[in-house]
Amino acid sequence: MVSKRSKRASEKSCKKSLRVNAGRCSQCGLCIGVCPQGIIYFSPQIEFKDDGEYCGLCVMICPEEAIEKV
Amino acid sequence: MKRYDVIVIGGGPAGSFISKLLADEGFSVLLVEKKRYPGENIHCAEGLSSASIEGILRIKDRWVSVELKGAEINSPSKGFTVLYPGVGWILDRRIFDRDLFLGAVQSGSECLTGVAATSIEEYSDGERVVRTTAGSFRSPLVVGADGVPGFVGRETGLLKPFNLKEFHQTYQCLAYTGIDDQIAHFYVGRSIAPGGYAWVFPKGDGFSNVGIGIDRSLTRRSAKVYFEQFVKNYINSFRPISCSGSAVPTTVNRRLVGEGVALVGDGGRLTDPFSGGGIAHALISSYMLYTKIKEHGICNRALKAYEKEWNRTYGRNNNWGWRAKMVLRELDDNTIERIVEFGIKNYHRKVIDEIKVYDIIKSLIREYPDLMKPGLRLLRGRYDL
Repeated sequence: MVSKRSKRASEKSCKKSLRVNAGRCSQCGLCIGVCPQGIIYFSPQIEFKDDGEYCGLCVMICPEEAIEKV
Repeated sequence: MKRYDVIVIGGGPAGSFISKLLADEGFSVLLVEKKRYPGENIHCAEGLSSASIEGILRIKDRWVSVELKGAEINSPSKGFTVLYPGVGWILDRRIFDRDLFLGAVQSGSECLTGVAATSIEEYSDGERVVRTTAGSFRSPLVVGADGVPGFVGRETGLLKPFNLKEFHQTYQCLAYTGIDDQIAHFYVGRSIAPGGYAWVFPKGDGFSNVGIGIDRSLTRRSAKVYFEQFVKNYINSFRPISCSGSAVPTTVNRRLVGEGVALVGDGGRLTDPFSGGGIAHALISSYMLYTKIKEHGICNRALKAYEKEWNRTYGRNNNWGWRAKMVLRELDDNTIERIVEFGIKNYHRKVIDEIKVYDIIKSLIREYPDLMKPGLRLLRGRYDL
């Protein structure tokens, strides 16, 4: 099920469409664990690799609501 | 490119402990930790049972916030207390983690702090290359001790992405509550924490580690929302100091090794799926990997032996924990109230020195025959991941 909003976002890559609020991020790394594409990593802050397509799971699951759509 | 016998990713209890053990054996070890200061920013309820780590690590007084004397189990409306002196501790993970990390360095491990691993390359010529934010290194063995993200496991194809049933989302605070006992308080019930529980663990002098873990496959609301509701309803005085959201793996993973890679602790998703406890599993898995390397040297045979022994021993226990978790997530509040009533009748303020799970389930079914179904599922049900 893809909502209209996430459909629009999916046209962009994760790297372009998502931003991590460093002040909120607790660095638990749950987003890395759930990412179906394995494109999230610490460097040492959370970063997205170039080739990820937006699915929204990390945004939904982040316990600190630290991942924001741009 | 500098070469090490072992590169350990993650300087929590699992990573520090295995680094120390292997460095003591004379292996050259590089320990890579993302945090600048080991021990900061801990996501943990900090409970550790004494039986679980017997013979593996001696707990020092300075690591202990409070020595536990028992537990209180609460349903949404009532609760009972069981006394169990010597059952375990509430640790101070800041000091515990820091000391274990320093111990690894003292034993001869080299360390990098404030450095993250950004990729683990394919196994070739008997080695892996680890790229980090501070340069690249090569080694015949990379140990993934990197906790919830499981980056090493993901990069090497050992771990699949978590599905929603495989972890609990958590939210917790160190707070002043005025509760100053030696009792671990648990709160169970779908309305409190769907598929999980809330905890209030004593930290001494009226401070508590208060938190909640929920199964996000059962609800659309986050752990933080449930946490705020729990604190409002169940804690009279609450002055939070530092709070954070995180997660706990609550699954069963049997793939712990690949060519030139081994996973330990949360990094291999090795926790008790029922309680969510992970400290003991971290220490035990590290110790087990160490004994196999000591026996066979750094080779894939040692890694296979580690995986096999884990799955034969703790892995089997975890299957039970997974079933217990799956049964718990199906119970409604009414059933949990009745189970707690049973607890009040049979165990309240009693002193025990062992938890006999089978006996408890048996007498529970005798009292409430309608619980036969979940009881049997608990004893021998199959739940696929």
